[in-house]
Amino acid sequence: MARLVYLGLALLVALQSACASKSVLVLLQNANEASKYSQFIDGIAAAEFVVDVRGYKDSSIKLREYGTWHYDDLVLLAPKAEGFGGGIDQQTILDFVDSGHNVLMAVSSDVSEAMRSLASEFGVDLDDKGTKVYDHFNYATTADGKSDHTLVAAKDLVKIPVMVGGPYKEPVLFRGLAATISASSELATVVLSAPASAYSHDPRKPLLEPPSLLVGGGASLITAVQARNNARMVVAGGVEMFSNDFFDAQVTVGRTKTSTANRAVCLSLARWAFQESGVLVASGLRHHLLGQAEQPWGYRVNDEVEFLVDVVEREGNSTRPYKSDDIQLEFTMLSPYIRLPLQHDNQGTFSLRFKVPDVYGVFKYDIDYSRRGYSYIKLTHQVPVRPFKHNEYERFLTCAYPYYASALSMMAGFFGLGFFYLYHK
Amino acid sequence: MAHQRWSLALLLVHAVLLTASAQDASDGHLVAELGISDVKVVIKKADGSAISSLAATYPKAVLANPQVPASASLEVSLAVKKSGEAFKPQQVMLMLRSKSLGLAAYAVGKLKGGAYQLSINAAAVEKQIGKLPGEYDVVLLVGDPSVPKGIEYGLGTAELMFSAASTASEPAAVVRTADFQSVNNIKPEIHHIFRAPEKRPPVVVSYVFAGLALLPLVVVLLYVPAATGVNFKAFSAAPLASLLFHGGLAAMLVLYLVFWLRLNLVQTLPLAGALGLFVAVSGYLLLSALSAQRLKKD
Repeated sequence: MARLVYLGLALLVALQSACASKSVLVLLQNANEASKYSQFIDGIAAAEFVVDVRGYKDSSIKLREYGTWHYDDLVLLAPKAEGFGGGIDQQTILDFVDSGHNVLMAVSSDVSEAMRSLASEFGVDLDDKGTKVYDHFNYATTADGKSDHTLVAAKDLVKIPVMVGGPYKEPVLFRGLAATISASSELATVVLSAPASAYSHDPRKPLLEPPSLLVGGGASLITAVQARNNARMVVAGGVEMFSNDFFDAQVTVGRTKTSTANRAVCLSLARWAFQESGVLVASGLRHHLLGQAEQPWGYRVNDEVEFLVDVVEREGNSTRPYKSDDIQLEFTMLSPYIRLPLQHDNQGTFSLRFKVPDVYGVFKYDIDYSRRGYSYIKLTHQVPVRPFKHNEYERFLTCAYPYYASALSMMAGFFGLGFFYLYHK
Repeated sequence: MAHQRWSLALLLVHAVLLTASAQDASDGHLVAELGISDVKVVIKKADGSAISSLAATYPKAVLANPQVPASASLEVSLAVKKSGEAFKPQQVMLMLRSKSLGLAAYAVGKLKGGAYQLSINAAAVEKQIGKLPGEYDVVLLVGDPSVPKGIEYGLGTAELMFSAASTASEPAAVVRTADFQSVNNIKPEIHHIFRAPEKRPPVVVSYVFAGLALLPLVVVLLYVPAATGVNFKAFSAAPLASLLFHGGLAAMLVLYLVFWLRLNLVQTLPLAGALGLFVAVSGYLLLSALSAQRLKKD
């Protein structure tokens, strides 16, 4: 009997640990390349992920089986892959993302059409195959003295610590393709911009003119996209950025010798991509009339009400209260009547006190919060607003005094005249 | 002694040989270097005539923030040499970097008759980074993979003017760089403006007309009896019935008042029914007493 109990407990513990850690599938050009990216892979594993490294042609890989996903996240470091082995194709990867999972992919100048079209499905337009990012002013010379103008030392990282970590003094070493994102895209973020003197060019073809030529800050070297279901996709233009060589490189840029920030940036970005940082969870949406505690069925016009919601920021397995002043609440019926920022109390409770508009109808509380680097908060809650009841208006009006006086005088006159009428002789 | 002198001499010879070989090493590699010459900066009007023309020598800046009108273009021409010979570098670009936002627009050089021509105007800048009037740093970038050191020639600053209407053939697309992206999706605040309460007439008007409404009452109850000589002689016919009747009538009027102020119809109707019955009975008794008295007299 005791043995059964112990067995049960052991199973529970095993299940718990299996559930707690997430699994990542890393697809490389072939499985032998795992040693080239060993520091990156170990870095992901150190963040409590179960990493499965395969070559992309491995026919035994299954992303999905009978409707359940085998992995939580996907890393594609195989820029020349035309198709994938096993049960993976572009539609499967898109379904993977649609179901809330994350993809981190890296390409290079020899990118295949399959990878380019996958990146464009994510919203990132990579430059043509064969183009390289050149920079004749910010290129890095490696320790063995070889200088390659396509090895760019980029320093224009986006200033969002949840995505890429704190400010770095060292540059990020990059060699590969530039990308561009639509100017009106709300979901995509340029994580690493090319330096101002850089441009993307195929040396076998003539130089294009801007804006078709990707040049300067508008050429994105690493792009991140967060879909509306909060699935995250990162498209890096250079797969070598994740290699041990670039992590450990000691390079000379201009006249200064420096190491690279690749390790910190790549691991930080991978943690962000796998939803280990920058995840906001909103809960506990509640509202009440000022002075009462319970949540009413609806409001009346001109009521004073208070709205509250709790937002926490999840980082790995720990949560902490979210602190920000830019979450806006909309009280809207067809169009917003009120749009005001919520105030927080440093404990993660965001609240707002306001007066219900003097228009009646069916309103809704609407929070649509999107801060670059954090997951989206989209909450709505419907609340009807009724007009005044007949007895909620002013009782006596000064301008009605003549009418009161005339009615009262009518009654008094009737009473008095009764005496004259009955008793006069 | 001789041994020391020999070793010293050997040391000296060694040192001379080393320095000689070091010099040979630096001369031997012959590092390629780019050179630019005949740099001319011209601000041309739309019809081709020049507003101003400046000759520049690297690395001195020549542009002292001249105004470039909306239809005019800034043109730079230069000749590029590598180690003394004419050369076609991979990159010959003119970068206009906005001083206010740090965004940059670029123009690519075209080789025409041995010299590179670069031309940029407000429409091209608008097509790349949108309408951004103000001061721009004008920088000439010349580089090639075979040359280790590129030439970054700061020509000075120019002020670009934009016309009110869009001169670009396509609508301006806003460029996105890592530093130039919106942080959040905050929208302008909306405060609801409540309807102002309706204007009411001045209070004095109500008081005056209330007074006017009470005037007839005063006239009827005080003036008319005095003027016409009304008497209450028939009161003594049935004093109890009179009291009950008028008391009941007064109670009905008070009930009207209380209904107006406090009660609802459900509470009032039973009371009114009871009182009404009482008033009817007492009124009948009073009227019969009064008519009996009148008959007795006649």
